[in-house]
Amino acid sequence: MWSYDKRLIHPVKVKKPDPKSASIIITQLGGPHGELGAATRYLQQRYSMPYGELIGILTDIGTEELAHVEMISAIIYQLTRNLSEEEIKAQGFAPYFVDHTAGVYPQAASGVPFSAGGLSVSGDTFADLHEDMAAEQKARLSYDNILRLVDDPDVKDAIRFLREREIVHFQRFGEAVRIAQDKVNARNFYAFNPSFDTAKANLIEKC
Amino acid sequence: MERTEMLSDMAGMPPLQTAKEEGNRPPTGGCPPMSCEDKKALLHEIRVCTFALIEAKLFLDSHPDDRQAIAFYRKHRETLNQLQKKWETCTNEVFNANCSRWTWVDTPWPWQSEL
Repeated sequence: MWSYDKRLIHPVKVKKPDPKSASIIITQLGGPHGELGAATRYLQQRYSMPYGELIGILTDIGTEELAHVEMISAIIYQLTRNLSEEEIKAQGFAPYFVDHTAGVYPQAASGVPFSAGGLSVSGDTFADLHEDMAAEQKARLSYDNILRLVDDPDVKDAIRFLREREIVHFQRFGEAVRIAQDKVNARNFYAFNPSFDTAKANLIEKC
Repeated sequence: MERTEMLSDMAGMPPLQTAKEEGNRPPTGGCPPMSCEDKKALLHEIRVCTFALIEAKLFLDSHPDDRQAIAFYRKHRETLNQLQKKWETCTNEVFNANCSRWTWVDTPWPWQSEL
């Protein structure tokens, strides 16, 4: 189960409204490389993982991604506070505003709503872990692009933190692949593992 | 054919090992190992207390001035702290009870356990 801590994982203190930036950054909430997809992907991939270390990594990173969802949402919220009608029209925010006003809706920068189509739960240990490594790189490059497009230092500080976490998570998933490879067979140079319904996964353990 | 045999047969690999087989479970520290029944009873107490807190918090969201509810919340918060402390000392579940191994990755996950 989960419980909620009433604080952000890293502070978000954006002073200047900027709906144009918000409509770009929102892609890291509901876009194909976004945090909501990351959290969903990792938490849902846990059930077919054969080793505790892998389930632990997916649980902890998946949970952290939920905290990142909240950070991105806080950035969007602060960038779209107290807007005048003129600002909404002038900064290209009207197409979002007409449906969502200043609510924080999970969508890509293109306007496409969040979709589980952007993630995979294959049930195969190596396929899933390699997807996870790729997902961290894709999130990292999205943050690189956001840093190219945004000028506000308050926004950049929060985005830099999120970018760094992608790099750390990539590292941990790399270790997860190595753990899986060593455990499945130390000599298995070709990492694959037909991991449908493993014995471990089906076992109901006595306490 | 056993599933593990089928797996190893298909992949040309030995059967999957589990943490249990590798003997990764260290002895419990601080107090004698708990029986399955004792663990279940303690976990039940933790669940009851946690659920009472969830209910109290939810009630307080819409009744933030209810002093009786606040007192109820504080009382159960304190009880939960004690129960969790007991759980951590007397079992290897949830947290690492010994300092040489993070046993959190060794014990069964909620969907694998009969607890």
